[in-house]
Parts: sequence; C-alpha cells; structure tokens
Amino acid sequence: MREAVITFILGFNYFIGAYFGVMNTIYACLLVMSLFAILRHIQRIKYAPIGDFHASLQTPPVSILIPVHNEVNVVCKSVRAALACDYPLFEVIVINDGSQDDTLKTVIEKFRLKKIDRVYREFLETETVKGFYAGEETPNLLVIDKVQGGKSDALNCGINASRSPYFCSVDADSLLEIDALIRIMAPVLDSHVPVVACGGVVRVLNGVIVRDDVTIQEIELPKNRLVLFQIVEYLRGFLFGRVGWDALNSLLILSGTFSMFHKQTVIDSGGFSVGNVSEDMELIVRLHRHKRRQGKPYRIRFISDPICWTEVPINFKMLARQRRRWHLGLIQSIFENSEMLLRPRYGIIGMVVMPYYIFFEVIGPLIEVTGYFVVALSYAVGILSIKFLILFLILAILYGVFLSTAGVFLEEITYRRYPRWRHLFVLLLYGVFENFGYRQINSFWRLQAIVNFLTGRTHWEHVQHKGRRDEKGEHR
Amino acid sequence: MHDNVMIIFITIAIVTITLLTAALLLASIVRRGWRGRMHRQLDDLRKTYRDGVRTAIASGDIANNEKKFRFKPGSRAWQAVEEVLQELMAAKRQTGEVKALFHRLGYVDYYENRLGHRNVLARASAIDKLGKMGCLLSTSRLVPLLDTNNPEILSVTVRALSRLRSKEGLVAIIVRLPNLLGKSLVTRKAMETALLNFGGEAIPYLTDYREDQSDPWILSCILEILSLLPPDPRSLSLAIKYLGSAHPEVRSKALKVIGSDGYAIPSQAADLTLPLLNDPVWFVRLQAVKSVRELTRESTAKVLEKLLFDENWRVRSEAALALTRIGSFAVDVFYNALKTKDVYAKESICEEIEKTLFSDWLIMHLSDDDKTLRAKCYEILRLMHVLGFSIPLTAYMQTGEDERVKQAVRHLLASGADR
Repeated sequence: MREAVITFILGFNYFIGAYFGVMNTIYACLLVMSLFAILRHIQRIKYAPIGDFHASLQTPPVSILIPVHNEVNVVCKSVRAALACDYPLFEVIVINDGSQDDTLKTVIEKFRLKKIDRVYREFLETETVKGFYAGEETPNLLVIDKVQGGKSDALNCGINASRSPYFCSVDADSLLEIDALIRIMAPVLDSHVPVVACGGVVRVLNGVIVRDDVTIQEIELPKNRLVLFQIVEYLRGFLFGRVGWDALNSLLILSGTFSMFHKQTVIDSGGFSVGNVSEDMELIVRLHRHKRRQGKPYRIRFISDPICWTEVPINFKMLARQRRRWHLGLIQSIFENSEMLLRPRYGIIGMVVMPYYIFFEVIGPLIEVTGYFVVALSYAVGILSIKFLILFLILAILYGVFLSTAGVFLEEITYRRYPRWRHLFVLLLYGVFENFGYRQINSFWRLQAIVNFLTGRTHWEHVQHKGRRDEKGEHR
Repeated sequence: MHDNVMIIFITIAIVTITLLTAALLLASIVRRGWRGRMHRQLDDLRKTYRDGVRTAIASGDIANNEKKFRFKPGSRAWQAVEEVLQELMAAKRQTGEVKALFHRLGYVDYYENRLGHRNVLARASAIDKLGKMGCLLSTSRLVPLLDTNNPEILSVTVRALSRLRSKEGLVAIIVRLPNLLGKSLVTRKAMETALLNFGGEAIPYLTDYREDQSDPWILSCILEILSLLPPDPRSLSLAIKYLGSAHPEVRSKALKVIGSDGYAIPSQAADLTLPLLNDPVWFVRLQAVKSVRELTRESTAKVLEKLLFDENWRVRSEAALALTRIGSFAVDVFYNALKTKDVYAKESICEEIEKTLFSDWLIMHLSDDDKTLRAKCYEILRLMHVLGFSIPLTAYMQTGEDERVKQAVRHLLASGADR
C-alpha cells in the first residue's frame, strides 16, 4: 500500500513538473509574440488613419450600452464620460436593470430626461421593458427602465433598442478615454476580413484623479495594496495574454467592461447568455462557434491602444466574489460550448485554445493547490529532498516574478501611463510581492469556483463599487 | 544520479529566469531614464524652434533663415523642427511657406529616400510623413507604390496621396481601383474616406471613370463617394444612368446620390426613382424611400402607403418618416394604415409621427375648420393613444394654450382609456 502511495506521489510530482514546464513554455511564447505584436502596433499607431475616420461620414454609428443595477454612486459619471466620447455618430443607451436604489431617478434628474414612446423590437428575448427616457439636451442618450433580469438580459435589451450596426458594452463603474471608441473601431474599418468583435485595454481607475467626470487629470497609484496587485495583474493579462492570443486569431476572452461587437452577428448567435455569470467570455466562444460553423472568414480582435479605466474591488470580500465569478464563468463558457472541443471543424479554437483553457486555466487552480499538498507530502514521506523542494519553489516563484516584470516592462516600452519613477518601482515591487500570497489566494478562490460549479451554486455574486475620485481626491 | 540531473536542470532554469528578470528590470529602468531625458530635450528644442520658425516665416525671408533650422537628419533638433513644422501644417497656418521649408530643410528628400527601406513599417511611416508634408512633388514618388501588393503600404499611400490632393495622385488611384478594391488590397471604407479628401475636384474623374468599367462594387464605391461630395450635375447624370443597373448595390448608391442634399430631383429622375420603391431588394427600397422624401406629391404618398407594411422594419420606419414630411397628403395614408391589424407597422408609424413632431401638427388640427380633417386627426391620435403613444397628448394638456384643442385632447384621452 505504502509503495502504491509513493508511486502515485512520485508520478504526480513528475506530472506537476511537466505541467509547470508546458504552461510556462506557452506563457513564454505568448510573451514573445506579444512583445513583437505590441511594438509593431505602436509603430503603426503613428500613421493610423484615426483622424481620417473621425472626420469621415463613412465611419459607422455605434451604440454604447451601459447596463446598471444599483449604481447610484457611479452612473452619472459613467454616462457623462460616455457622452464625451470623440466619435462622429454614437448613442449612449443606459439600461436600468431593475435597480432598487435611486439610479434611474438620478439619471433622469441629472440629464433632464422625459419619458418617451419608442418602438421596441425583441430580437433577443428579455424581461419586460417599463419605459424609455430621453432628453433634448443630450439627444444621443437613451435610458431604458426594465424589470431585473441580470447583466446579460440588460445588454440584450440594449441590443434590441440599439439602432446602430455596432455596439460597445461598457460597465457602469468605468470611464472611457475620449478617443477609445474611434480607436476600437479602427480594426473594423481597416480590416479586409469582417471584424465581429474587438476588445480594448482595461486599466485600474482606483487612484486616478478624474476631471469633470470625463478626463483623466492625473494618474496616481492607489494606497490600497490589493489594488496595486490588481494593477500589475491587469497589465500582465491585457498586455501580454490577450495580445499574444490575438496574434494567433484565437482570442477566447474579451472583457465585457469594454468591448465592441457587430450587432447583427451577436443577434444571429443568440445574444448574451442569461444563465452565464461571465457573459462576455461565453459570447466570444459562441461567436467563434457560430462563425466557424458558417465557414466564413471573420476576426475577433484585441488591440492595446483603446483604453477604458475601471474600478476594481478594494477589499478581499469583493475581490473574492469577482474572481470566483470570473472563474465560474470560464468553466460555464467552456462547458456550454464543449462541442467545439477537439473538433477540427472549429480549427485552432477547438483543437488548441479550448484544450489549453481546460487544462491550464479551468483546472489550473486545482492542480496548483493539490500540488502544494503533494509536494509537502512528498517531502514528508522522504521521496523529495529539501534541496529539490526549495529549488522547485524558487523556480515557481521566480517565474511568476518574471511574468509580472514582463507585464510592467511591456507597459514601460509602450504606453507608459504611470509616469513617475515611483510608479515604476512600486509596480515592479508589487510584481514580486504578488507571488507571495496574492497568487495563492487567487488560486484558492478559483478552486472555490470549481467547487461551486460542481455543487451547482452558480449564482451571480454582486461586486459593489465605491465611486471614483474627483479632482479633490474625494470619493463621491 | 537522476535527482542530481534534475537539480542541475532546475538550477540552470533558475539562473536563466533570474537573469532574464534582471534584464527586464534593468531595461525598464534604463529605458525610462533615457526616454525621459529625450522627451525633456525635445520639449526644450521645440520651444526654442517654435518661435524661431514662426519669426522666420513671418519675416518672409526663409532663404536667409533656413540655415538656423538645418540639422543632421535623425538628430533631436531635426526631429524638433519637423514637429514644429507639422504643428503649423496641422493648424493650417502659412502652409505654403511650411511646405517650402520641409523641402529646403531636406525632410522631403530624407523621407523619399526611405521609401525604398526594407522594413514595411519604416516605409509606411515615410509615406505617411510625405503625405502630411503636403509636397506635391512627392506625388510622382508615391504613385508607383500603388502597384505594390502590400495592403498596409497601399492603404497608407492612398491616404498620403489624398492629403496631397494632386490631380496626378487622384487619377493614379482611380485608374487602379479595380486592382485596389477588386483584390481587397485597400478596404472600401478606407478608399471612400481617402477619396473624399480630394473634395469636388474628384467629381469629373470619378464620373468619367465609369465608361470603361463594369465592376458593380467599384461603381457602387464611386457612387457612394459622389453622394458625399458637393452636388454636381455630372454626378446626378451618372446616378440617373445607373438607376436601372442589374446590381442592387449600384441601384442603391445611385439612389443615394439622387437623394443627397442639394439636388433638385428632376422629373426624369423622379419617374425612375418611384418604381424602385417596389424593388425586390430591401436596401434599394429603403434608399428609394430616403430619396423621394422631398417629392411632396400625392402620388408619392400613395406609393409610400404600401411601404408602411414592408417586410423590413427599416423600410417601414423610413416610409413613415417620409410621409410625415408630405404633410396633409399623409393624413389619409396614416388614417388608413392605423386602421389595419399589423401592430409592427402601426408602431413604426406612431414612433415616426411622434419623433418628427407630426403629432403636434395633428394636435393643432384638432380645432381645424375642416371637419373631415379634424375627425381624421382625432382618429389618428386616438389610435396612437391606444397603442401607447400618448406623450404628445399629455404634454399638450400640460403646456398647450388652445382651449378647443385641449378639450378635444381631454376627450380623446378619456375615450382612449376605454380601449
């Protein structure tokens, strides 16, 4: 019996070693690809026809969809920021998803809206719409009041009401940079292959000082350590994870915080999935499935210059909720579209990307947490020398540090949004620190999500937002 | 033995990763320092030369002053002067003098030489700069680039030529349209955006181009551009010619030209346009409705009535919108349409009536002396109220002044509640 256990532990150790090696090789490849892709993109931006598109009547109209639910603290700021976008023709559609607080009242009063009659066609089935509001002062703002049905339902409602060929989903706690919309549309206008979705970079708004709710006045790092970890995480995730997958035309995740979609393609694919807690990822997977079934060329792009700033959780409770939801959504998305798995018909998505996500992202936390126990156990039963154990731990942590540093480095050689020397050092430092505890606790939350999925606890965990800082540095 | 090999392997991996991490750390720090210094120097230089260049241009003696601004290509001072000149170009200030300076200071030559660079990004950047410098003499260097097969180079070249706005560049682009659009080397949106930069000067070349080309996609692209350029009889005559095209995209774009602002639709065009309201393709019908908006005739109202029940909602809404502009002719049409059972069509009609404020016109006629018109207006408003489009009525009750109208509206709101 003991021999069998030892053989199992030994085998598992080899498995962990191989798993770790393959995963980090993939990360290294993504990093190299991202480095080249971003540097080329930065060069291209210098002669990109953004100005021409801005002035052109040919630039298609876009609807900005902002679903809100009990967001009284942030809703008006987000709407003002969206309305301030520099784009030839766009409308902002705020969908009040059955808020119990004064969200609707606040928007109506702030923008002097009146109830209007409007034809509403249910291309996508949604909860009942209670009313539409519009005002003379902001003719491109439409507010929809509806019965609560969740974020996906609210977005579907916004799609139904939208009269533009493209829509852009933006979270209520986010702030679009003034040229973000035209930049995110550039691949659509400049691509020979239809672009059905395009994502931009999401950055952390906490700590940033905003002028008139619209313009980023000063970028500062927040004092909250948890937020600092998340800044490093976002840099890594957006600047090398997604750019790398984009280079392979294999993106499976675009952030719902800021993504642009071709409306008709989304309607044809069935809209946002109401049962999924991570509707953005599920939609992207389904768009791949839909388009690959059709056998028509398409692209789902991620580009690194359109920027949206968003508030991130400031305490462990909210962060845990967010991370559990993200991971649960990932699992749901993969399972709901599992027919794509290992099917050559779905190309690189079915044969490479989905297996990668299942093996390294979905069950990754399970293997990581099990690994900690098994390695400790291996040492306890005497099949692992202390020297080997320490070296392996050092290697694992160092690789994490390397990836975080690479994320900060990519930011440094490209957009450099954190201007001060202190910012650079703090970010580099937190890139090191996040491997001592933060990463492990994240894995634990993701493991909880796996358990929740297996036990059928798949409800939406709401994350509260505090409201951003104004020029005086006060939360409002 | 096996464990030792593993330990050596892991140690090598640790050392490698440590070195790589240290390299990235160092690179981040060094780069920040270097870039910071560079930007500070550039800021200072720009500040210095901004005034100098402006003074030199204002003095009108560029020849004697140019030595002050001539620097080694690639140097920071050279870059600063270039940026100052580009600022003046962008602000459209003394562009003639600025263009001359670009030439005399060697910027044009420098970037023309870079057109042969092996790196695509460097070449594309040089093309873009030449376009921004506005030096017409560069046209002849840029035109041959339209014969390459690299989509990136082609897109940038088309844009650069459109900024130069030379006749030679325009002709070169138009002649190559079959290659550029046919092979999808330049996207249609990019081409249309670029050609619009040529403005009205492009019209004769675009209208003459049609004679020897039959590609419907190119034709529709040309017609689309013409629809956005200032009105011109040549554009109108080309559009009329292609109203009968076999390709729906061409028919639709021809209609768009005819419906553009500024054209008085001749009777010949009107006669050709009206049958297209029955076109089998929805986007042609849609464009036809948009184009006949200005034809405020009773006969048009009758044709549009049918389109209120079109299978496509965009066509239905557009037909309702067009009818609201026809005024009194439309009352009968709306009256009849709102009596039918098609709820989708009726809602579209109500929305357009409300959106275009035709509802206000209807409300005002509730006190009209013409009894028949008054009754029809009342009935239309009542049917709208039944369908949930009541806001104009309630608004009038709050702000309206005519007591007779108010009384009618009050009665209407009360009767509508019995739906």
